Amino acid sequence: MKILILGGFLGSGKTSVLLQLAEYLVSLEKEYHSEVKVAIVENEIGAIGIDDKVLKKAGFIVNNLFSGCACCSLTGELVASIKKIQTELDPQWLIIEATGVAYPGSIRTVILDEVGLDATILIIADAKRWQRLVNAMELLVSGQLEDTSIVLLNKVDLISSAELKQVEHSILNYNQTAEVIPISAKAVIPEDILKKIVNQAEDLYDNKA
Amino acid sequence: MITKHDHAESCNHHHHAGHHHHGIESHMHDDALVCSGNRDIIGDLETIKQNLVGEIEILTRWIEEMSGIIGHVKALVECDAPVTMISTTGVDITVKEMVGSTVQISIVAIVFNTNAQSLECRIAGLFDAL
Repeated sequence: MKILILGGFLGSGKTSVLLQLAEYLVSLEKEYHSEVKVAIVENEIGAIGIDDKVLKKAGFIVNNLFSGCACCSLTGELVASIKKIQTELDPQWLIIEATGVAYPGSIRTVILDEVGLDATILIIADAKRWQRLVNAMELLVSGQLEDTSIVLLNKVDLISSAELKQVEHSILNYNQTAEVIPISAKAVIPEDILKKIVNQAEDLYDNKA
Repeated sequence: MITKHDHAESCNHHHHAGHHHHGIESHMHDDALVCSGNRDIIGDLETIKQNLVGEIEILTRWIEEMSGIIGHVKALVECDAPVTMISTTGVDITVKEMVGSTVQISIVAIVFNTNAQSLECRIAGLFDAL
């Protein structure tokens, strides 16, 4: 089971990216000549889920973790949920959508320590609000960038090219090794970008195997 | 930097009872205030959706005026299909289309630097205004 953790601040577009990524994974069935099963763990800090309903309407298997964060207060529930998915569904892919206040690196560590599986982290950042969020809560938004090698910089259609350069520069200040890829998730994300993410997760899985 | 903002405005709508609003709960997660609520409303779906957009705009402006930072405010509108009642007394069959639908509204606001009590009141007021 390959695991992808989608992280990034609230409102950055994680669910929009997740939908396109999950649909892309399912579309790989033709290439693989076999069914590609994708399971999703949806973590929300609120007591009421919104995104899980959107994902279920799109036809995906969704496990909910509500009222807490998988990186801190719900680590036990996360581990139990992953083990259950592994046993009962055994999907090729598990996508975990972290809450917008989670540190994805901590989630990866929990999964590695408790389940023995490594995970690829994908961060979505909001280009339009980046600087404002850095000014208000630098520790959180910069902490979310740790441990990822790909940052999808979303909503670039809402900023100028000069602003885009500033945001890219700021992100690279916090994570020098990350590849920053500009996208607009409200449109179709180009297939080569989705492929790059999938390839990275597959490489990690193959190396561990 | 986030600074604490303790202003709590008074709540003057009908659901106020010891500052518990039915169907609305809030809690803190680190610096984030998480407020969730849901309510079933009987009415015209399109009108409710239109009103909800306007009410979320008002909520957004209020949070920003209070120097709050919006993580996100999300709402989900779900509606049952139009209800039809078919009845008979043995003579003929009556088919009656029921006017209005039950619309389920869910809302989650995750914000920073905002007073919990005031936000709960605002969201209760938002539901009342639909």
